[in-house]
Amino acid sequence: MSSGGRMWERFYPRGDLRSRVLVDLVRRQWLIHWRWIIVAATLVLLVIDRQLLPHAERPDAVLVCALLLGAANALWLALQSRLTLPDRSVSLDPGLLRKVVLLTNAQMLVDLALLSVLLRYTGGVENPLVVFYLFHVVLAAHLLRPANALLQGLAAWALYSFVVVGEWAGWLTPHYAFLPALSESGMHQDGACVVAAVGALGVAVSGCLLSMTRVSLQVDAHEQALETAHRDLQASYRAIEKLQEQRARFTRTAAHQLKSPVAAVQTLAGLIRDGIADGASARDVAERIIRRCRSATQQVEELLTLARVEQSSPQRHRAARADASRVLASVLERFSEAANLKGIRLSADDRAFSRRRIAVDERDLEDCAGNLLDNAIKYTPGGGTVTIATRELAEGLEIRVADTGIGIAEESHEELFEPFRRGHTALQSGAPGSGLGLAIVREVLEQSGGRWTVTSRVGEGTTVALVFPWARNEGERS
Amino acid sequence: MSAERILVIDDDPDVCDALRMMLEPCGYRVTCCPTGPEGVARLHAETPDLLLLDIMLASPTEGFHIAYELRRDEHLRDLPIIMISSIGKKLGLDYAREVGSDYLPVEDFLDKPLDAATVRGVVRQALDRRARAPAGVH
Repeated sequence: MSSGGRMWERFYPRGDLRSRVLVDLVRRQWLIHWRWIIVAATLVLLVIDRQLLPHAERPDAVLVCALLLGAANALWLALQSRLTLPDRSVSLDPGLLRKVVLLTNAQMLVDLALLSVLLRYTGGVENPLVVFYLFHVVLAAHLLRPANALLQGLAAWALYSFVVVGEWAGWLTPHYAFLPALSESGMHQDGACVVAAVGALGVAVSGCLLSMTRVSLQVDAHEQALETAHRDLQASYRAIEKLQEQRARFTRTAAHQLKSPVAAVQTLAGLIRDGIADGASARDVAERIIRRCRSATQQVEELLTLARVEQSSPQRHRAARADASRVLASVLERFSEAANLKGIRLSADDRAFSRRRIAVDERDLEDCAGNLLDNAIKYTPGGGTVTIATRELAEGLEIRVADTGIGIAEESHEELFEPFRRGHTALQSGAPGSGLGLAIVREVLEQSGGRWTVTSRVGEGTTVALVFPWARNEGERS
Repeated sequence: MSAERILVIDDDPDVCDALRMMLEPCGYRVTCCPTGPEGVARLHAETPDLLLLDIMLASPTEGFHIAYELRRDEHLRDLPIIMISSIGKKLGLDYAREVGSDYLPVEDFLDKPLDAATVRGVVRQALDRRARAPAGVH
């Protein structure tokens, strides 16, 4: 935008509300109507004036001034009718607003000039119609920017000063008395009177500008606050909608995941009931039923854990001082039997675990470490190794679980921590799993301000590292 | 007369084995594939007489997509397909309508949990319909 364009912007109304009020007033020809009334009132007053004050000296310029006001008004009407002004429901075009502001300014300046001419020929300093200057200043301060109102105020004050000072100094002659009784008063030649009149108008204009622009700026500020609140509300609404959609998807998936084992159990039980499976095959089917029930129970437990973690306040982590070495030793003990049964070597030196406290709820930490170890054992073939280690970082404690298992394809890394998502290699392995373990880990990490990284190669193994922030005062020891 | 061949594509090994136990005593030869790509490869290698296809494989609608692909395949478009679903026959039909195809690309639906009598009945009907249909007409 050019510097000229930026300068003009100072004169546009800032708030959308005031811009719309201005455009609406122009669309409804509010100023035009007022001006017709003033033209008509002036003509009527001139007739009455002639009747009541036959000795008053009224030059033709007064009538010409009223007729000029009417002619100017007809011009404004013609110019306005060329603008297509929208109602309040349609958004405003900046170019249109600029035209409306220019037109309004032009109208007001011509009004002020004609008012000054009228005052010049109807008594000057003696004429109380000077208050009409303030009418324009108040209107400008309400509808336009402060800079614009200041321009109108200065114009009003300068024009009036020119008239009364001109008459006092003798540049503008002769003087036409407002009333015949005042023709001998000599007010227009009284320096004190002229200074008082100019000063009074200056004070009145300044007062109007200060008070009215202050009100208008507050309206703008309130409008902006409302707009911000409206935007925030819309953002919240969108977030809630997204959340509801996620919840609905989660519920659908959870229902399906829970229905699958139950449906499989019913199918398998039907084989025994119908005599399709008998003897050894019936025992095999019964084993499958038990396995599926166990898997469904574990799934429900994990769903409950996820719900517990999600519903708990994240604040609990800030006050927590978890002893990772104790938690990891306990988790290692819990999974050692499963690892032994599968012929997997669990490699961990629990004396080497960091003893510095971390800001995470201990029960949640146990769930996280348990899920990582469970996955590592589940997806590592017999003869493989699973290693747990800790490392002190500046930001917190890193807990690393590395395995020599089937690995995870890179395209699955991102969605691993989503609920019910399992990597392709995990699905192909046939190992049972709910797809909720890493979702629980993610929730705990997000709540506690931690982070995670996954490095993996298909067929070689996976390393998952979780970093939990230090507990209060622990970070200072690093 | 050689045994009719049925291919099952389902990622749940218990469901696959249950179908095998339900159908093999009736004289069918049942083969199971746990993934969509494996199943499609198998179809091309040896075309069965009937396909039992799970809707939800690697993605919630992979089964449907496989069915539509098969309908576009010159050699496999007449293969009868029975969709196995745990979302229910009605939802399956609704989804098929949503996808916007002019016709449902499957012969029938089987809802989980599976019942031996229903499975056998639906499979027999589909095979009989196919036997009665003129060559090249599905």
